[in-house]
Amino acid sequence: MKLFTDKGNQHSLKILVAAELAGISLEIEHVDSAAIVVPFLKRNVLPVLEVETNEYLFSANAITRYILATVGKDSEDITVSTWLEWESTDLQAALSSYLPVLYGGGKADSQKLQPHLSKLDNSLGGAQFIVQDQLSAADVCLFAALYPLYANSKSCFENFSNLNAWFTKLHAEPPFGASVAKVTEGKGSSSLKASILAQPLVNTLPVARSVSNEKGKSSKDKENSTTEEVVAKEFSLEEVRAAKETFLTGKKVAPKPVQRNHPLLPRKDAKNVLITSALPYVNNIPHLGNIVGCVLSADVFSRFCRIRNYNVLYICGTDEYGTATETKALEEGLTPQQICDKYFKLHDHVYRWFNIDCDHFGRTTTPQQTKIAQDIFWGLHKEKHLLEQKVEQLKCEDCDRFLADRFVEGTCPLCNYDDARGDQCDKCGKLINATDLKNPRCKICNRTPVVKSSDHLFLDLPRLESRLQSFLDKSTTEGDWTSNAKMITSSWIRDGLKPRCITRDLKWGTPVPLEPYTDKVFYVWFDAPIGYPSITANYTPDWEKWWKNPDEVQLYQFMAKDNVPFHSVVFPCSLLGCGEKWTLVNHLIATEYLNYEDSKFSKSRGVGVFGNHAEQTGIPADIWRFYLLFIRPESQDSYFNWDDFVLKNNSELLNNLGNFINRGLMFLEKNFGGLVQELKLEQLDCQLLAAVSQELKQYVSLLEKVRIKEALRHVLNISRLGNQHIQVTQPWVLVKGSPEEKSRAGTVTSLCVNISCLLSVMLHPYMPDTSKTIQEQLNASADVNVLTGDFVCYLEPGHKIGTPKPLFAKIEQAQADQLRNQYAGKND
Amino acid sequence: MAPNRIDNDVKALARYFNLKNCKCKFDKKSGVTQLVHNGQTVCGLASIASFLVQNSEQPSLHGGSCHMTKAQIQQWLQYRVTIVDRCLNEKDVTTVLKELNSFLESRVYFVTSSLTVADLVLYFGLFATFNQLTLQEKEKYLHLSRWFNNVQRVAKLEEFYPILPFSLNYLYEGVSEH
Repeated sequence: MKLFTDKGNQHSLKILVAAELAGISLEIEHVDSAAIVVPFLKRNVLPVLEVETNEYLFSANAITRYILATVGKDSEDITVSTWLEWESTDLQAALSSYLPVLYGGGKADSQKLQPHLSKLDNSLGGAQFIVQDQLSAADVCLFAALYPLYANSKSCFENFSNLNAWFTKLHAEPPFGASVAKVTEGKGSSSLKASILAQPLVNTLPVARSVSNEKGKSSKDKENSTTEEVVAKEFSLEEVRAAKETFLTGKKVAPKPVQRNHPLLPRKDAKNVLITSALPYVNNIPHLGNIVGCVLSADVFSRFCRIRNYNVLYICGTDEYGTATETKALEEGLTPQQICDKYFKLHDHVYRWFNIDCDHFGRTTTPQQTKIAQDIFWGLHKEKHLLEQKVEQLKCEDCDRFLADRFVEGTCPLCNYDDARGDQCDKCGKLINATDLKNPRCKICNRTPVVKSSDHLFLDLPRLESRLQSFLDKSTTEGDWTSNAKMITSSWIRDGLKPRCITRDLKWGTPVPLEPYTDKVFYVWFDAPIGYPSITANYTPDWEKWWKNPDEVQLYQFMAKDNVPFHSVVFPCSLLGCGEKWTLVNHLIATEYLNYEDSKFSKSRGVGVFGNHAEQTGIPADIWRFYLLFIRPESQDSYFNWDDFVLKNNSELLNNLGNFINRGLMFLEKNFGGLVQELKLEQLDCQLLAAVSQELKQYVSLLEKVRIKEALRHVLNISRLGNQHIQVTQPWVLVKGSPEEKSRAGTVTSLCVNISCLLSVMLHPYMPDTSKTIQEQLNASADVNVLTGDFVCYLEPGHKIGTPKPLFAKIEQAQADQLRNQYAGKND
Repeated sequence: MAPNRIDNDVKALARYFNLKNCKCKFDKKSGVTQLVHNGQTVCGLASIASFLVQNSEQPSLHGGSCHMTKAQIQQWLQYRVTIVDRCLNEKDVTTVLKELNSFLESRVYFVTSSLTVADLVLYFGLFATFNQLTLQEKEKYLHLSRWFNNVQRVAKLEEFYPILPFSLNYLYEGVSEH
């Protein structure tokens, strides 16, 4: 057994005394007070007993009892435990802040220790030992804990005669005396100073202690007790004063929400924000991952910008050209246009259900697309950024078509993945040419295609590289690009830009206007991003005011990470090279992938929630929005999990947020006739105002930087703080008391109702329906829907609220299990 | 990690150990939760836990009569009340999670190789934190999560707290433990 300790550590005194009493000789090794002896502990904790190799005990009290137990001298009496627990929690907490001041030469307030010494004194009576008149670990540990006081001044216990007698008697005993000598090395109190000053401060519990369970809660209160209390932080006087001032007087100067009049055009007096979400391919039924990465993220941000009174235009639509549509048309016996019409409706319906509030949700198959794409093309042609080259392509003789990329599969030449597609390998993500694939096969008939050559046009990316690099240098440093977007872009450029083919031998696409390529169409990745301006052109003929106006417009583009190179390299190059001044992306927001349960979304295998499945479950859109945004894959892939979905709904929405808002409103209605009461704010209320203000400010600053997931946490923090405030002030008790107490209850409740109003606005980007419902229940005017970053009292005394109703419903585990099975696909 | 959780935990432990004739109460004056059994009063969560396990019909959770085992249980009960229950901020919580994760790297349970009262008390103490963690964060503290998932199922604690979801596959690349 080896004891590690720093010199003069008063806690080791306990152990040495125990060793003496047990007649055991301990090997002692002196170490530095900052040494970390126990490998798994992240803080230094001394003394530590190494009982056997790599078997440690790091609790001085436990070590003391252990040593005594080895010779049968440890008492089983539970009172010993309670004294040691008191010593390690209460007594040490007081000593931990007192001793450094005492030994550091400061003026120590001995009043702090009085209650503890008094408790011991009373308990002792005149007894010689603390527990049952027999020497126990309790005596040893308490003696050692108090020793530094005695070492500093022998009269420290003079007001406590029992304590004094007990202490001095023990001190006179040989085991105690000898151990003291060992620890102090005969040098008295100065030997303890270094260790005391080096010991980390013990955390103490916060003073405001909330009372346990409310009356009337059954034993099944487990779910309510998962409502986590945020420990109250102390705010400075200035912060508290400022928060109170803003709250009480802010309504007068609060701006009103700006009206949204279509068509929205950039204004000189406003911050103009243009938002696009990657255009979902019309043929692919969207799943939850597609939705959260693109349209939903862009929706949250655009709604946020609107309540900030920015001038926002949110553009999205379906990407409709390309081979997949052509092939599907053949399969279903329809024309490509009919296929697009059919699937466009599906997308539109799904996004409307999810409350995606685009200013315009359009399509790429419009005359404007053809015009704008061809204009850009001519511009590039004139500036000589296009190259003509013969291309070897794979032609499937049986199908009699040149196989476009998505119709060839084979082995990736770079990473040997078997299922690589013709233009991009799913596994390593590198762009490849279909002809590079090893063992290619036609996806439709599985025959091996032949290589035929055909003339095509290429965009000369290398020629545009320096212009691109200057643009990127500026944009990535001045704007908010997600780090994955920056990394993907720079690795693309590092790999070396090569000319990219922008034409294809297909029928369904934007026709190439240059002879002799007029029988070809533009490659989808050249063409699709042009969909953003062309959809805008369908919204307003003044589309160039947004798209050719980089000085007045900030462009935010949302997408999943696989779309990044096309938006950060190919599209900007097309625009930089066509001879006109286009608005280029300022902020590129890319998400990682969302997976599903333990695997991936797969339409073919029926795994995952697709299209209107979410609607079919009967769970409201807002709940889906909330959960998807809560797990938004920002820095890492994340995944959808039914159990977690249910848990978040039941704990965060129902028990935290919904519970706070509902109880405040119900209480106001029941006890005050639904009328907001006079707000006589006390210190505790003002602390709450400061705390809520801080959360609000953090929320705003995070969402300004498009940190959608993190900002949501602050909304939940505020309702947690609100719940805690109610627990502490107990208005249900106050309301039955004196008129002053009742008025206090009125203040607390009215404050909570105003916090609910703030929450409804903060929730709007995430859960628009719920936000509206809360405002109806509050009978709040639409004017509250502005976020300045200040918490303002909108619902003033005398305001009458509407009818409160629960906002959220519990999702039972059984329903979740049934839904999980429903979307789990076939077993393989 | 808030103080009144202690009251809940004491009540939960008393129910779990099914000790007859006992009552839990919170003594406002001393600010401590107490258990009263057959006239005897025990104060403090760690002591109450020890008391319950000594007097209940589930001696296996005692850990056995080996001195080292007893000392280790005392040590971890003390860890709960002095460290886990006194985290004031995120950093404190992270330190706790890292330490415990590190400790459990080579262990199935905190003391010996079966469930003891130390596991129970730490489970209760950590529930609130774990409830807040995302699946990615849980994966970061892999060993602690493994222990938590094991205890919540093996100890049959559904009556007290809902079962939290854990992922059984590694989902996050490059998750380092620190």
